[in-house]
Amino acid sequence: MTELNETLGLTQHEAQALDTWQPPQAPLSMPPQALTREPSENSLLTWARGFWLRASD
Amino acid sequence: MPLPPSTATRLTRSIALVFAMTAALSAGGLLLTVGAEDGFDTLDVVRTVLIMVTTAWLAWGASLALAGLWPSRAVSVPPSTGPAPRTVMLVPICNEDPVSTFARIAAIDRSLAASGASVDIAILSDTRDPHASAKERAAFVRLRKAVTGQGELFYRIRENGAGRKAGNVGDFMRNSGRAYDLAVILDADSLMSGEAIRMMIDRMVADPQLGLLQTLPRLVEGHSLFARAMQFSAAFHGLVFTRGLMRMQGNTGPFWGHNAIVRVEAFAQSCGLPDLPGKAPFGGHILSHDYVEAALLARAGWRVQVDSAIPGSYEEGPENVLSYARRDRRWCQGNLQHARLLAAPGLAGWSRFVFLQGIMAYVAAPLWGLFLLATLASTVMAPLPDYFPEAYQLFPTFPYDSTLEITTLILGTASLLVLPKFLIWIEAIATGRAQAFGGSWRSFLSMLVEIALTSVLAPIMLAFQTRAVVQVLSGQDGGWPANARGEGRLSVAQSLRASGWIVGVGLGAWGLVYLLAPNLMPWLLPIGIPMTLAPVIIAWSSRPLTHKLFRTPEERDAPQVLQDFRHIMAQWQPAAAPLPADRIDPVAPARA
Repeated sequence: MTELNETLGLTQHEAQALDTWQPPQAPLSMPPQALTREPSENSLLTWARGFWLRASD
Repeated sequence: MPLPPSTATRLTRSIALVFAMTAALSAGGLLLTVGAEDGFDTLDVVRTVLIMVTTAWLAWGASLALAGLWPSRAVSVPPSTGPAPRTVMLVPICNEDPVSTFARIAAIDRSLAASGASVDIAILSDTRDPHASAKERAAFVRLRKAVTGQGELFYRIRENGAGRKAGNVGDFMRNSGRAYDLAVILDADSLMSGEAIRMMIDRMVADPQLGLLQTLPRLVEGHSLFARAMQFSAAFHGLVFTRGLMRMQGNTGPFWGHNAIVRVEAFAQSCGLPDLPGKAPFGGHILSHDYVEAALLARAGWRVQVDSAIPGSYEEGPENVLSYARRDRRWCQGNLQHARLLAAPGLAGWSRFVFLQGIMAYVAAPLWGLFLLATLASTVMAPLPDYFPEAYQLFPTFPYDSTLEITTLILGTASLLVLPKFLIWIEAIATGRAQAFGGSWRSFLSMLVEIALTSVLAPIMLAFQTRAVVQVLSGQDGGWPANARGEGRLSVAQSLRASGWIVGVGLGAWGLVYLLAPNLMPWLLPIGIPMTLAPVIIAWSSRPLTHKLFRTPEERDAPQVLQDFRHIMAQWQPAAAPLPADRIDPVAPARA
């Protein structure tokens, strides 16, 4: 990597200084969202099952 | 809870739906008339259903153009007088050409400085290849020396690359999100003027319920016939289509992943994407994350809007058919994956419909193929004409000639594709927009050639899309390889390697029709010829085009930010080296 940096014209100082160009540390919560339904929540399936049970009564 | 659509939005949607259904029923009715002549059978039912679905899809596209024909008033908000919101411009990159990417950032920075907007810039790198990463670092050092804007410049390298672009942006939100109120999200090939960014910030400040504002990026820097035709079409027609989309979608607008601004807290609270259960292509990371993020913001009650009237938003497009098809392969997988999300809890009905539209955009291609196959089968299996159905008949009864119905069907279908473009041309003259495209006649000529070119390319694109759908449905994961930007001219040999199979399918179709239903040969011409000549057409359309045809406003009068980008590129870029042959491959899916 050092050789490559030199080839590309980066001084050691410049290559190391990149580590200081990090964005600010200011954590924010980003919770994963619900995108799929549990099988019991599947309204279409529930409706179809109910419909079938009613029809077969 | 999603915001309810306005009355105007509901009305536009209803009219479009009625238009699409009317077109579908008309097409189905015509085909039923033809099918009923020799006795109605299963194939007629199949053909009728297929033509109704595909025509509804075409008519829906046409309705977008019709809805966008009349001009809209530009939304103007007074510049905010309060404290400026803390804004960051995010540039997620992964194995991109760092010189051109960072030259764009330098040009944007210069434009931001001129506009007086104070915006931090964060380059979020997922590049893991050591050689590419070192080049990126070197380019960053050069960029750091070039920036003049008021904001800070950050460069973060992520080690694990989890979740690809959405994961990259999400990582920034989780680690640094609280430092900002707004984030402008760009792609590596995005270019935006400082004035455009300032306008977007003002819009977000003026409307605290606005969670995301998407601009319409104009394509720039196209050189080949294919790229310049797309560039013209996007600028000339795209504006009207997007205006129609804007009216149709209302507050449940789109996110195209870049050249947009988001409210950071809203985005963080609403858009954390989980991996889907199961394996790729339908499980795992959500590939086309932008549509999902737009739906999630709308689900949380935020406004998501697109505004085609914000000037100064640009991106680059593919230079040839193969680059386009490779990108389409990724988008196909991403859109088909949305089938898993159609029943996601709490989404606005329109968001589900947007997912469905994305799926239809790709499924339509194999449906057209199936329709053609069903038509061939129906012709082959049709009973022989009986000229004397009665026992003692003096004069023969000739079979019903359905040429009129079939011709009406084909012309009707073609008009759904072409008529909106003619109407857009009239709109461009009426509003004076055509001047920037070289005037009424030059823009008319450009439009005619663009229609001819897209008609020739359509069967080739349909073939690539059909293959992509089949690959995804059969479980092949194409991954999400980085764009090979800057690909240029293709030789016939290179095109043949990627499209030889299309030639094979074309020749097979000719042979099949010749053997089974030679009377259908003339009907096969518009599809069979382009497929058989695919390599020649692909190579030919990748040739540079320097003619004034397809002239766009940006070519006529390059905006300052584009001029700055070119100037910086000329300083930074050594003489362009020829592209290694292995970068011009094909559309074959890369394994993730």
